[in-house]
Amino acid sequence: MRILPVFSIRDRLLITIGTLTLLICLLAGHEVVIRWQELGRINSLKEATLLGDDLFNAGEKLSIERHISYSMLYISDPAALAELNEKLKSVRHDTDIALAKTLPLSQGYKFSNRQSDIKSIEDSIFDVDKLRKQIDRNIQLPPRQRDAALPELWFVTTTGLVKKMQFTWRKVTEDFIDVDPIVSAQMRFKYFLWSATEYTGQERAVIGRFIVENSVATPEEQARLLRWQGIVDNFWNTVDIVASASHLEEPLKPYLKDAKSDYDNVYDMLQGNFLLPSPQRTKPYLISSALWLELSTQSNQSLYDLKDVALAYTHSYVDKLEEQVKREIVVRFIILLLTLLLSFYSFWVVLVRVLHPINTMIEALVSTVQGKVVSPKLLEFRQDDEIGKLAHVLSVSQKNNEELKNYSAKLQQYVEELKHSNQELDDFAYIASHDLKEPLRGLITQATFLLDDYQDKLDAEAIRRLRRLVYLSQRMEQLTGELLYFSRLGRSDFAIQKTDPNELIAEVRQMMDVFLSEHHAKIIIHKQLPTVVCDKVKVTEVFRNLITNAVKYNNKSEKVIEIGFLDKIESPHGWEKDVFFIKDNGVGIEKEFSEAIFRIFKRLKNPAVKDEEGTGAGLTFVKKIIERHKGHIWLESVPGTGSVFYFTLHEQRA
Amino acid sequence: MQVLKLHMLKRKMMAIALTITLAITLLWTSTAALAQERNELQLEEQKIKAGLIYNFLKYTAWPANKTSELVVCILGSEDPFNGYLQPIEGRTVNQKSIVLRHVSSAQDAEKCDMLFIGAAEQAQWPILQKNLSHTSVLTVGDFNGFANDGGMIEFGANDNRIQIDLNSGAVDAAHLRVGEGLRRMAKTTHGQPGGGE
Repeated sequence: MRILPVFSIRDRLLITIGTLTLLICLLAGHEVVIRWQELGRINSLKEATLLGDDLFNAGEKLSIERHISYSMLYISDPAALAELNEKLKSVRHDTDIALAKTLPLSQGYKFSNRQSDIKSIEDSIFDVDKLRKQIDRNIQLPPRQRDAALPELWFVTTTGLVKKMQFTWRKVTEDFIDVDPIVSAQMRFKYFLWSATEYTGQERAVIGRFIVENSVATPEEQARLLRWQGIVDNFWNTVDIVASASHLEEPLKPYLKDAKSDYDNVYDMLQGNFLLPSPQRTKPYLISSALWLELSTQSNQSLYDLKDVALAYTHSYVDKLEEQVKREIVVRFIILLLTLLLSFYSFWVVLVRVLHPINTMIEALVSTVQGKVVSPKLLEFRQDDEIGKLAHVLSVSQKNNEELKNYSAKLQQYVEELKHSNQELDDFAYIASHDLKEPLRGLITQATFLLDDYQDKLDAEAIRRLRRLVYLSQRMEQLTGELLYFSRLGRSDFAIQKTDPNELIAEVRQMMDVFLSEHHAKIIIHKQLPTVVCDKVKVTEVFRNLITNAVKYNNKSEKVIEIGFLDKIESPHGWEKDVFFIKDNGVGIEKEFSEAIFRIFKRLKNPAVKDEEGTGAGLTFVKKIIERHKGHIWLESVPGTGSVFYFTLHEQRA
Repeated sequence: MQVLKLHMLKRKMMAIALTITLAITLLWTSTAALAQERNELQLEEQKIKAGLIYNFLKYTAWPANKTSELVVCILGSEDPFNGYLQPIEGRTVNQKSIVLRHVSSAQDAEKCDMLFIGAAEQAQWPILQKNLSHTSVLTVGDFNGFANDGGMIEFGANDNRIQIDLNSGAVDAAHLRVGEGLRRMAKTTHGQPGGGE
């Protein structure tokens, strides 16, 4: 039982190609979509690195502002205050711009879990802004009237804001760990660098206060400074490893050495004064707070330079990453397009170049089989491919078919005409022979009467001539009779039946007994002949004629006639099956006469044979009878030695 | 009684001796402390000046400087930095390694990128200045009037604090370019560009 529907080759091919196309398109499309998503993630990564840069910058500016304001709150000298106030105004402006830049950026990310962090940063910025106003008021007052808690509050608030920004940055970095490990590592490196920079900044701001106050650090302050120092030392001890892990070692190497040199230089200048227990000072520090601010800012600048180099490297790396993904998208898109084009092309080839010609050919063949006329023009396709060649061959064969049909029709016409003409000829022969009989008989009768009644009145010459007239008329009557018989052979129906040729020959032998013994002839049949389907009377005539000929045209004293049967023998027309033969030891026939002997009334002149009675129609009758049995007759002969007549009878039982 | 008196006298003598000893000790220690503080201040000054030298290098650009080294020279065999400048050797600035040398002649000084002339070598300056007038050596002097006498950077003092005086003219004449960082640290004077009075 068939459950699935039966599909044609055309349907199967189209379904297969369609499915393959769909699958390839899905695969290539999937690749493109994946790359597209990756591109989106890389773009976010790019934005995140920019955010990192902006946060770092804001932190840097805030660090400088912290340093200046913190120092100013301890300065009483109006000139020194005025000098720093100039710098403060400029750095506050820079800080505001840098902070303003970070906030929309970090909000633009829509990290739901970062919203609270951003809110907290905004709160801190608000606090910083409030404190700025308090600082501005306080520095106008003499040092003793200033709010004693304000410097520390300022320090803690600004440091807290930087820490919040750092925290946000660290969290953002974590969000991108799975996008690209190298970029993520570089983002972490920048966080690490920022931390060190920030602690250095804190340390230097506090030292700035000592310079302004001309004081030394209390044990607690020393402890705090030493802790920061430890963190910063740790940075310098591990920065090589971290840079190397972030693939930043090479680009950073020269800048790292510069930054470390710069850092060490400032460290050497101050180490003895603030990190170790020192006695209270009686003389002021040799460095002014403005110069210290400058030195410390410059020293930190080396660290910012590091950040800039790392950032530039990260940006170029991300750009390359983006380029690569874009290239991959383009390549995959081209592959997708090519696949689609190739699929459509194969569709087209299968439909137009294979299935359509095949269908047309099938229709043409079906029409041909049904006997309809098909124009070969229908099959005219391109001939440069296999199907085209096939169609071409078919179209040529269609043309040939047409011609053959025409020939066949013409041939049929010829056959009809020939039949008609043969019929007319037969009719003519019949009419002629039949109608000639009567006057001929009258002629003979009249001549005989003349001879009988006027014998004594006629002289010997007249009698001889009359006798000759009677003889010739009788001969003509005989010829006419045979012609009539011959025409009857062509017209009359045959009584086809199963016949035993052995029996038939036995009858002939009996019939010709006297003739055979008179001529000293004997018939030899080597083995039983097989039964055939034929007209018994007519075939008897064939045997009788051939035996008569074999005896007649024989000058041997002992005439031997062999009759036999062959399964297969080669004839002048090719191989023949089921062949009878009649062999004699007669005079034989020259090869040039082997066809002529079958013509009617043709008699060969042979001095060895005396035959006055024959008309020469015997073999013509034989040939006619055999041909009406769909057989052939031919002969092999050696003059002087004998002849063999072969014939076949292929009449099927009616 | 006599014994008692003698004993009293002995005790008095001892007290006086003790007081004197104490006084001497006090006097000695206080002078020692003063001397130490002065000494420490001097060391602090040398340390800071040594540190500032690095920043001068950082913010100066030499014309057609093709080597990977920056040669810092100290005039004379004495070390005016008391060893504090020594750590600078081997450090890098703007990706150039710093090399420290002592020079004694103007000829040697021409090969330097920076020449430091300490207060002790002040007398050498006029001759040096003449010889260096066509070179691009950054000159730093630690004596009064250096920047006015055609020197480029002078370590001066203002209210007991270190002050940097920058002679822009001299710097420009030597085809050196000095960065904003250095200009912010320094007080710019307009002393003679390259020659004497």
